[in-house]
Amino acid sequence: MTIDEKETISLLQNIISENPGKDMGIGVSGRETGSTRFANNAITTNGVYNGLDLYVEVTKGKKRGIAVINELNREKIKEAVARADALADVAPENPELMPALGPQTYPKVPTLFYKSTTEFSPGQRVDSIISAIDKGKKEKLTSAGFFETSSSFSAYLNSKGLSYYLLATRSYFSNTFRSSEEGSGWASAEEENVERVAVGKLAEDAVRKAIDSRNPRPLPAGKYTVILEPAAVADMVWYLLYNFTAREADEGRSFLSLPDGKNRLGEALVSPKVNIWSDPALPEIPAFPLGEDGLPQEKTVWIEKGVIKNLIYTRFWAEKMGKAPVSFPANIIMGGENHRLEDLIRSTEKGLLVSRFWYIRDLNPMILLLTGLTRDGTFLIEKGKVSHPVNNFRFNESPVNVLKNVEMISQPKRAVGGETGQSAFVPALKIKEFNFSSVSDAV
Amino acid sequence: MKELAELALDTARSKGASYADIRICRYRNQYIFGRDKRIETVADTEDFGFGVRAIVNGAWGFASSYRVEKEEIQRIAAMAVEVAGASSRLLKQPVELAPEPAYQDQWQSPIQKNPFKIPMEKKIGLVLRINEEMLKVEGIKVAMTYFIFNEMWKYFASTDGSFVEQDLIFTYPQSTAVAVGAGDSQTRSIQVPPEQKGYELIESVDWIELAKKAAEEAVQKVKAKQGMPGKMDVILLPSHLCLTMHESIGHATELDRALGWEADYAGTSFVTLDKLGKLKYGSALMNIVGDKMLPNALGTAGYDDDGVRARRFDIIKEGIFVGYQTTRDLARFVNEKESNGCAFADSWSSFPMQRMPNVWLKPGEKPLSLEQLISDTKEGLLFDGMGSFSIDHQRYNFQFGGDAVWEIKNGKVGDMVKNIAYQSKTTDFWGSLDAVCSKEHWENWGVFGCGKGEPPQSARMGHGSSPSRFRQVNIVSAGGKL
Repeated sequence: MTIDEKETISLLQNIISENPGKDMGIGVSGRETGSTRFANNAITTNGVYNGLDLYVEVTKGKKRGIAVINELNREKIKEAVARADALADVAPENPELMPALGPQTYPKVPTLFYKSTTEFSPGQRVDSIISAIDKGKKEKLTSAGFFETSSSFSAYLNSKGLSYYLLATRSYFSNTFRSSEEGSGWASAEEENVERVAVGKLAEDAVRKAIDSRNPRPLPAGKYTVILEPAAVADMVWYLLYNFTAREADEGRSFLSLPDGKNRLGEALVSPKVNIWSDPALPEIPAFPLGEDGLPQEKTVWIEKGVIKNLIYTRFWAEKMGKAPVSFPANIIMGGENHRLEDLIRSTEKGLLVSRFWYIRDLNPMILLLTGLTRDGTFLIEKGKVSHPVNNFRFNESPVNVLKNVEMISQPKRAVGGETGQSAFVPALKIKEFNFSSVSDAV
Repeated sequence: MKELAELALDTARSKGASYADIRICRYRNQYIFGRDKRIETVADTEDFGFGVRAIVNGAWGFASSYRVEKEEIQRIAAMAVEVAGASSRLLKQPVELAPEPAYQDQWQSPIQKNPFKIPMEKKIGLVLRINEEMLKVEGIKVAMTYFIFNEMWKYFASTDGSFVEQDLIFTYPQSTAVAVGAGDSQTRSIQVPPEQKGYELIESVDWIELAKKAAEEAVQKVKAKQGMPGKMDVILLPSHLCLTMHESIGHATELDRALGWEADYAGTSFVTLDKLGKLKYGSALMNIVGDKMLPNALGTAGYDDDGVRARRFDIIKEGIFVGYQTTRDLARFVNEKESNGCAFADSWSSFPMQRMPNVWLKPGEKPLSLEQLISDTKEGLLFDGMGSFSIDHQRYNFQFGGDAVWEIKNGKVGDMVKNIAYQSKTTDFWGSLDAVCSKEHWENWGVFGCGKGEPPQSARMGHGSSPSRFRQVNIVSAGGKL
């Protein structure tokens, strides 16, 4: 469901003007999604989904109440405002509540909206899926996957004049091929423009992995040199940045904490080869240039040559610590070197090639120790060549160690993390001494 | 509602659907989050809409909308039929629904106090009071408490002739103390399970006493010694065993996973169809039930989202795997004549899929208390509450931590240990089950946010058990330095 900018802003303006003198913010967002799911070489579910939400916040000094509804009639809107108002009355004062922002100027970013995606029909999704399934059938593989296209909008207006209207489309394709000989391959992509989703290539990649990973040989757990493909790197880097918050560090409850309420900002944390930043304007992985409470968001460097350059500072924490606010990453970009994945493999005497990770969870936040598993293709590399597939592993490892132990980096590409489901523009990494703690029998 | 529902069904039928159903749903949520001595969020949300499912030429189609109006219902019902038509181009086996009688019925959660009618001031006051009590304990840096109250009102109607109205209410309190000291930080949560209850759940607990205890234990945890790796007996309390059962039994015995329907996302299962009635899942003490009827459990309802009346069925009997979780369209794959009633959609805008019912462990038949079990254990570890959790995509290899873990030495609970987890293979682990406490010690726990499917859906389900002991489990350390 999308409503055009003029109509949306007028709806929001009406609500604000009907409540003169109220410190309030109104947001409206809507989405229209079509998705098709397939398994065992056939479609299992196919649907069209619409959604709309109206968000109302009423602030009284340091007190705030929030109400959300999805019925846009006069009576319901009035009721939602009254509900948020009543909640603001009963809410105790929140000394950390920051005042609403006034009008902001946002940097220009590439469009996130493509008509081609909005016009993509259920029939076109099915055509693409049939073409992917056929590639697997030729190799006697069983396929499963998901194709989703959506359009969404989000608008906000507050009584101080902060206003924005965002329009985006998203296309996501994922496919898994499985062999009766214990092989499995996966590939996925997320793009704003459905025309950039190369279904044929994604199917070929997953089919090749499924074939190559057949009949895995046993290999014990232990520390290995690994080459992480970009999908695995995306998960590792996202987990690192999920935990890049200054407040937790300053409060002594993070791997970034130092004694006496200090944090590791400015410290050389990882290998000098590592550069990580966010930039909503990067055409390969554009994002909305908005951060917390509608703050503008431009390029933010997180790690430069291994040194922490920025942590996430909420508006409140920034003010308290005398810093400028830094919002949660709009996207993730990691710098690369002039190598291909094949070069990383060729340089490896003995190691493992990891296609993706799965089921990653925190084990110990004080060292950012994570656990998770490999999935859909794990291979032994011997003398610069992929030798044969091996069993999957559980890892107990920290992304900090991963980035400390980087030996070689490929050129970056846009990839979707298998666990986080979030895109990042990241390279493949060659890492020494990656800790696999046990073997998994899963295929 | 009946008139609107009939309009959807008539439209779908007239457009060529051989079966159709509609769910008109209204969800209400109240969320109160307090950090330290302040309330960070007070929110009240409402969500109303409908979804229509249709079968055309043996294929499913689905469409949904938030505009619950006659014209929109006709449009969406026609769209569901159109989408089903597109799906039928790639059909391997036509959908066949297991028969189910038509019902005209109403069902509601057996709550005593509607949480939405309790004054907000009272709820906010308690959240702040809990945090305040935690912060009184020296060494507590942060206290966080939230109360979530959730109502799901659903009206289901199908072309089979069912018209069922249900009103479900859930209460989910969560409170955590964060201690910081000597270069470490640890958390400890109050152990109160979420349930399908009203505000009486909140009132049944002495929160102030529990807040003090949790905060003191968080501080103890900071000072606790590091857990050491090795093989050890473990006693798991129901607050902990809940999640282990959920991951290693609940998901592994979902028929859609076993059939490969989840292969692209959540994964498949080692419990393949050839293992039905044969697989030795665990020791003879292991009796696992699938259940949509368990009073106050999170997965309980009068009917599932296929319109199947709630039922109870065996999943594992005396250690042998005997039954999958099924829906109307899955039952035939295991030659069942009826569905086990495990269809659920997390929203009016979601396609109902096979979701876990309450999956619980029957208590031991011989009288056995936790105290007796501990005194019978020479050396081991006692796990309370949920910690880190991870399991592979076929449900073999798992690793679980706890919210708090204590040593057991010579039949007595000893020191707390930190940064520790156990790692095992599902059938090895359940094979090592050698004691389950009796029914007086059984507790009704549950998981409030379980993800599955593409697009992802969230569900909730109960996993009750009595304290249980597992022999010689692999313990791993999660300690170390950066």
